[in-house]
Amino acid sequence: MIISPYILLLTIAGFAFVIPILSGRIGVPAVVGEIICGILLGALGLSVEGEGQIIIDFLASFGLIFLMFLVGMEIDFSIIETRGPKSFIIGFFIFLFTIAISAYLMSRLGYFGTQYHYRIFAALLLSSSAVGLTVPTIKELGMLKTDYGQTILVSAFIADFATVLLITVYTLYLQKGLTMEMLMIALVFILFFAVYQLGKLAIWHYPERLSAWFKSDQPSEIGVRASFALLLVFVALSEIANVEAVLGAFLAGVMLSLLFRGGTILEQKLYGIGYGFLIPIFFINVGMQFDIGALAKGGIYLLPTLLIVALTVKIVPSLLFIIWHSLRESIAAGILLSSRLSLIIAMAAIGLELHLIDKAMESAIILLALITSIICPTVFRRMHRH
Amino acid sequence: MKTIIIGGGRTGKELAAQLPDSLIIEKNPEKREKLEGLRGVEVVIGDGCDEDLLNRVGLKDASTFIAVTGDDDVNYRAAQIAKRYGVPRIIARVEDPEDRARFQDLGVDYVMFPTKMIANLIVDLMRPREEKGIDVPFKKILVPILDESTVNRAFKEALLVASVARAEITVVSSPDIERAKMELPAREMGVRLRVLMEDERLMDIIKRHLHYRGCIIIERVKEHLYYPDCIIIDQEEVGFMNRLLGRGIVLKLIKCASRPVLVARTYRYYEQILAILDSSATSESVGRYALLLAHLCDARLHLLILENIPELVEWIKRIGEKANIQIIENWIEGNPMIEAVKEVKSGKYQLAVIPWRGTGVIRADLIKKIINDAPCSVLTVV
Repeated sequence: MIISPYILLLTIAGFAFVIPILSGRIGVPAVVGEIICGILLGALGLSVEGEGQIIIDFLASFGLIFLMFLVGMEIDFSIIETRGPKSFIIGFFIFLFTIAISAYLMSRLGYFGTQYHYRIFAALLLSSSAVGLTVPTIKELGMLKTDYGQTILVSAFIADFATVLLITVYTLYLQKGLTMEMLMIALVFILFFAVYQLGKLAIWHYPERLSAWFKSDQPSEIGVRASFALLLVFVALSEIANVEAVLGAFLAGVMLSLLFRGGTILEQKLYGIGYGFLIPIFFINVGMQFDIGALAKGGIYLLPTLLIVALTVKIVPSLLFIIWHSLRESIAAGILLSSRLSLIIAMAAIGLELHLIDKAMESAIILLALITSIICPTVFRRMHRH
Repeated sequence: MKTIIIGGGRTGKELAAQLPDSLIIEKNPEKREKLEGLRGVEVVIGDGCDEDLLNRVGLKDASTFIAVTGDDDVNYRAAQIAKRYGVPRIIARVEDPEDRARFQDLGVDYVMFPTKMIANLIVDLMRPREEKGIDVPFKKILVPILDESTVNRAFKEALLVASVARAEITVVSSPDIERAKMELPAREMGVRLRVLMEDERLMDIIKRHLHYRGCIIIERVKEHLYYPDCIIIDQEEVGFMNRLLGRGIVLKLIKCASRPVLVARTYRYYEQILAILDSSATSESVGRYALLLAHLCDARLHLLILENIPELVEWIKRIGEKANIQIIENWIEGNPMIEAVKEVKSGKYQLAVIPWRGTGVIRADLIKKIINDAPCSVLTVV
């Protein structure tokens, strides 16, 4: 059924409003509800045509960019400052093992595409984690200030950060080869460093002006405007540098976290814009584009193997936790780190766009994200409540 | 170069006895006989506020001017004249705490409050230790002296703190710094001083190995079996690259000393102290040290509260009330780091007490920036 884009937006907004209430009652993340609703809308055959579709596609892709911006904001480097490098080192090694095991398993399991770069991309996808799920779970169990909780968080942060970076480098490599353009990624990081230094200077020299950005009584919402400007500077620069825009968005989020961590009112406003409007459009759109046919044809068969790989690549390296914690805690940490959600779906969308994965694989990954996001945090909670 | 003492009462007499080559001006001729018994002390009978008399006894050439009569007005006027004549070091006694501000405005180097100090001491003695809650160790102060200018800065601030805390100062210094430059003011302030004169090699090592692992100052001090309660050090000029890399001798010292380090910038008694508090474990220590110094210096304590920590704030207020400290709460709205910078830079405070490293709410980079660039003295607490 072809409808006007506003009717579709209204439908999306209606679902976006109802889903968190329902998913809260059932006990699943709102994102899961949004994707399922999207699948239902897609199954009903709702679609828009022409310019209307362009608008919806743009809003969804901006939703993805905003999602990566907010994921970047979740990265809290102060954990490394407060806890010392121990958790960072463990997290780093866990990620190294994860990517090694992931690459090994993908190369052994031949049916993920015949070309090796399909497998590498899939290996990278499966190395990711879900900071967005890890933080609330750890918080809920009162482990935020424990060594154990912090190490899990740092491991999730490193996994997400490194995955975004490696996927960006890898896709650029596949598109352009080993050219000078690879250095453009370095340029993005140099800009990142320069903006960070400027930001620090601005905080030191103009605290009065900046202070207003984070107060609630700002009719012009100068903080929100500045955040959007920062986001778009990095996104535009990524486009110029031929790097995935999501990396720019992610770095802009990390920057905001590095400079203004704890600016709760501004954070809340940005979360409101993101999770209240743009991000549900992305996830519902992901659901609507979900290809049940492709899932039935091949994706569903990929799922069990993907699930096993997804759990193995996180649980086995997490046994490193055993140096300081019990076996049960180490396995529990691995299970929590196995949950995937927004990032893997976002990265799968990029993979599909660049033809690095097919529809079947994408649908299997979305399903994997839905399953692990519900099951893994639940199992982690149970293991700790016992 | 001599010391001129105004007032030949008990304090003046005691001072003169410890400072040979000094001149004492006393109004009451009856006291002449007692004072003249002091070896090497010249006694002049007259008014300490008489500019002509002061000129005649060589005020222009005096190295130190000490006004210790029992009358604040006399001490003030005498100090005012000495200030006008550019005496390098002026010390004044103030009886009435309300007179404190005008003495400090005058720019007197050291202002002593015997009444207040004795009252605090008696109250301290009467109160059980556990009840005070601010019984953090502050009896041994270490001052690493890298060059001559430190004597006039970090050492001066250390003397002020030590005099109110009744603490001992240990100085690690190179031999080319004259001992007398430290010993004389320490004696004048009644502070016990130990000077660990080190060979030039030590100073070379410190300067050459600023950024390497291990901190020489602390290692050498440990060799002397001396564990300071607090280290007071001069602020440091940090170059562009070191700023980018977050390096510097003060930062290194703070990192490896694992004890409170005070970066001196105020060189006077603290009147307004700022304590930056959040939910980190260090905040309790920050509170304790801030309370202690506010108590010792009779300063106002401003709490900058970055997170919802009602228990800690209540505890600090309770202790503050017992110790007669005026506490001002400031619960922030907005971004904690920006609000912290705003307060530190406001110029209202002589001392900021902060955690020694990032706490999650306050980033390590900001701590470094405050340590390097704050307009006031900064005490970092472990």
